Amino acid sequence: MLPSLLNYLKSPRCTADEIFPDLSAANRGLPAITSAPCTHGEGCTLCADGCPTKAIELPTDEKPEVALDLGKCVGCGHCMRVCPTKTIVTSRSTRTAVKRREDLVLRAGRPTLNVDAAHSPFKQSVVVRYVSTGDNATDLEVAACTNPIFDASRFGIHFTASPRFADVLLVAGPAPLAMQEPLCQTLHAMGQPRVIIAVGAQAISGGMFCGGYANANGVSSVLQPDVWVPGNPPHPWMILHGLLLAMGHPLALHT
Amino acid sequence: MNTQPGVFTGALKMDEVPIMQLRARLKSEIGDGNRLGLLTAADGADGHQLLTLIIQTQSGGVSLLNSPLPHDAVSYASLTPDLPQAHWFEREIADLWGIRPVGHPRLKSLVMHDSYPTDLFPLAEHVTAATARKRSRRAPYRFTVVQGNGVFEVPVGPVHAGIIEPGHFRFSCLGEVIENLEIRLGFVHRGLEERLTRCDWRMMNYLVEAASSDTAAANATAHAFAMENLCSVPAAPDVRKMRYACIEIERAACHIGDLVGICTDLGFGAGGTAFSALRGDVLGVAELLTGTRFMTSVIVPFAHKYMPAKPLLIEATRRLRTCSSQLRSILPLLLNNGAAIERMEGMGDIKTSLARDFGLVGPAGRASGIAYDVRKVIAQPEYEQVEWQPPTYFEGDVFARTRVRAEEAIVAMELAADMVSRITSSHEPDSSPATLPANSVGVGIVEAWRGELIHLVMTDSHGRVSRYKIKDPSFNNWTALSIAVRGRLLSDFPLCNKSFGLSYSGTDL
Amino acid sequence: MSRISLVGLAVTVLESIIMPFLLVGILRSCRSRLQKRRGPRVVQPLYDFLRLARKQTVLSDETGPIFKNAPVVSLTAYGLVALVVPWAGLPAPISADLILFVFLLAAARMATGLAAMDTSTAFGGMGASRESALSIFVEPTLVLALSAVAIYQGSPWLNALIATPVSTGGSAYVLPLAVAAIWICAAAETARMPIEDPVTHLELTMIHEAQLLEYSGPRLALMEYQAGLKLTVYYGLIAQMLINEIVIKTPITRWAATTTIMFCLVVLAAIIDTVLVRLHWRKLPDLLAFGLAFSLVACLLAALKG
Ligand code: SF4
Ligand code: SF4
Repeated sequence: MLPSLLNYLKSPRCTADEIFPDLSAANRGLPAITSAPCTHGEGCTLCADGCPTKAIELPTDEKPEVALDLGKCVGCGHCMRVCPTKTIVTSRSTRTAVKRREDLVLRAGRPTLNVDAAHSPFKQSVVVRYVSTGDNATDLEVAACTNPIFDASRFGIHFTASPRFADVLLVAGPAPLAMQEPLCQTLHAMGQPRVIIAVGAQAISGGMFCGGYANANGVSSVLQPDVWVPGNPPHPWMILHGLLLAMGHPLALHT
Repeated sequence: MNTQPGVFTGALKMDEVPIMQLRARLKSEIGDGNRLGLLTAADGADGHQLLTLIIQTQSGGVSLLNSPLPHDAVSYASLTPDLPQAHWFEREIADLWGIRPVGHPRLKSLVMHDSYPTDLFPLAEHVTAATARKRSRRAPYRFTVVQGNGVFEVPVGPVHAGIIEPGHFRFSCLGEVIENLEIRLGFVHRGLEERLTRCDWRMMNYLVEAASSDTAAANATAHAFAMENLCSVPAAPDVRKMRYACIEIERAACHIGDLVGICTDLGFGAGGTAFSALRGDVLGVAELLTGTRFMTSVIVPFAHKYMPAKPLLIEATRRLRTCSSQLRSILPLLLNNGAAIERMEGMGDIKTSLARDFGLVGPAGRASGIAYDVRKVIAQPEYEQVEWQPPTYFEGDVFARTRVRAEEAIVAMELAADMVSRITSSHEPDSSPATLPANSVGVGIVEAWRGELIHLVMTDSHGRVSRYKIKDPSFNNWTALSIAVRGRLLSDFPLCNKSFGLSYSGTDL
Repeated sequence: MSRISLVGLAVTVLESIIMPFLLVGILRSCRSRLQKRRGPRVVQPLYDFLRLARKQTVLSDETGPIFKNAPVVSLTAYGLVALVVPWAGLPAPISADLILFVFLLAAARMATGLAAMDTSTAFGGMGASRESALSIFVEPTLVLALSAVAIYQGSPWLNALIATPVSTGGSAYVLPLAVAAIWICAAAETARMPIEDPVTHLELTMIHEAQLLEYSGPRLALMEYQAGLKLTVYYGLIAQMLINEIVIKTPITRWAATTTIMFCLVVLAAIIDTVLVRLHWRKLPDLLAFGLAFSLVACLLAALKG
């Protein structure tokens, strides 16, 4: 054991130095909409046909642009592959969290980031209570935020066992019926000021579960999230972006 | 008729066994060599029917028994008294269909919580006036109360302290000693099986990946095999290699992730760091091969999406080999660490006989002397290129489970490297049929990182998916956890729990 | 009051405000570095304190007056502890004997324990019971170790700690043994490895923190500050004994040496936190019994020579 321990102590620091780097080139990323004109008018429906969660709204007479709801997108990669006009492309940015639900609906020419440096009581220190409601890949990615590579602690982010200690309620999973009451109870055990973050497509819209008898339609059926983190599951950097956005941290605000 | 899922051998047929004879048949068949794969219900033409999947662990064969309930019947004689493995299956059937197993020793709801209407039996579609009348409402959940002087209860959850899934544990304790642990699950019951029968069959793979999303690759693979089995269309060899490679990478990443968890529960910071850095590397390989860290949306029935090009495959092979040698070099931190061994040895042990009675699967089973491993039982040529044996121990304690998982992680990376290096083509044609065959059934069985994972798909006379059942490996193992901690201290629970590493959402579905 | 003691008072008060944050900050930062992280800034505990101080308090219906007032009671106790122990390397503003010190610690522990039970939660009760179980070992160890030092120094007054030993013929092993005993007490009292894992999220394994789970807002801030203060006093106390081994004369050098040693001790604690595995609850008495044995032997050695 001792040699391994010495080896360990000699090993270099794990923490990534670059903040919010783009995802690796191999990663599929999330879809983004460009201003290239869509050829739906000539009969193309390729993207919407293959989208498992019906996240894509094709242009109509009233709304002449394609709209893509990142809150529903499970990141399958279909639309970015098939779109012939490059209206839908891949974005590997990890600064994906937003503060308003409607900002997740992508349209041509619409910036996705809202940069308001509002006053926040948590700029330097924040304690997070995590509630999983049935999406354990996101659990792992949230846990990864605290590991030495992503190291949330350097931003003053700390995860806690007690809702009484917490400022942020971080919720993942589609919030099915049996979890709705525990969710509300957890929120009520937290003192003001507090922030709610919905993390992952399942938490935002229920993802593929939407519409069943278990009411697994996302967190917003019981709570009003303040920050939304798309992805299925979101990359740890995206989750950290959501957390820093909730803190009002300058790193999350500048583009 | 017996057939081998996973290895294509043609459509699976069902044996009809009258419900009256089912108990005797199972009693005689299950035991040496055969195990209960799953027990569930479905709607037949003329009322409900019970489905039993039996796996022959010697020959690798699978038989599916179909036992229709008499017309309008909503109860049958419970199988649990003779077959302890059936006890959660029967509770689940009672919850989702309202079919009562008469004589079940501990019948209470499993996945349907009190927040649901008590007369909602979501999967029972064959409802006549008579069955509706006969079906009794679901009783409110009652915890078992341990009585006696000085016994107190410690309720934990449903929202847990760590970054894990929700579930409720009720400990009845005498001082620090756990006398009884009752595990209440179902908090993340999302109605998955109902959703699966409602969605387009071409989109089902996205839904099964979310069944227990940390096991996305294995679930997608089991689903793909089940669909291919249903349609009698075999998967191309390269596609199979890629699927199995994904499962093995998932296995390695998750086992290493749980080693991090075990170190954390031991309060061993150095170990936690070393393993979590390695886990990041393994996920990096997954990202390289499939475009995501959790390998979602690439494993689909009849094809493989986004097959990587040759240079990527070579790079992935190289990185997998590096990771496996790295794991070897850091393992002594935990496994040769006297203080850590002292905490793990003899802790939370499950005896072989108990493991057999409850039908334990996966690493937990192998740590208790049950050598059952789907990869060895159901012949799969991809796994025969490398000489390997699933690690098996008999102690059944936390240390044994930890060793099994560590050794499996090493083997998994070597197997994955081998499979990836053998993939030749970077494009496989999509062989999906236009429609699904009517009145058919398909089974897919794989060894997910937690153990035996079964997907069962059935179609109706229009070729629509009428029933889809997922049996997550955790479903078999939860009871063992509650037995393993009896007589242990409250503060030992987290370590025992982590060594099992069970899925809540996979069980609750 | 002489000028020296006025300065001493000022420095002690100032330090007991700053040092708890600083030491905890350094400890966490070192531990993070050892875990190959960038880790939080050294001032992070102060930011945490300020955030909590501004936060709303949430009380459950079950909590009563004991729970509400306990933080002030225990803060008073620890505040007095900081004033009676010459932990900063300067004479303590209030002179007291070792029994008062141990009594004050016990009073604070009782306040926290009662408050935890007042919450009527299972975890609160569990934490209180575990903490009192540990104190069965910690208290006698502390009394004996300090007595050994008192005999060695020739006075039961705590301020005698920073004077040159009078019984010059004392065994050289008394102080090291007492230091070892008090180090073990400090580990138990300040939730350090291998007795308690300070970073655990799991209520089921917590000892000290399980008592605090119901606190929120400013009260929680007070509780966290006290934990830091306790750590500071303990490490300062250990520093005094170590310094007595090397005999330092002037107050300034003594103060500087104390501060340096306290920082070193914190780094040592960070290393221990990282490389050790937490002991099983049933094995804790073994470790604590070592502490008790050390203090007993120290006492005997001191008494025999004295
Ligand atoms: S990437 Fe998202 S939006 Fe595009 S098809 Fe897939 S799920 Fe739909
Ligand atoms: S695939 Fe591209 S071009 Fe076709 S409808 Fe979608 S956005 Fe328009």
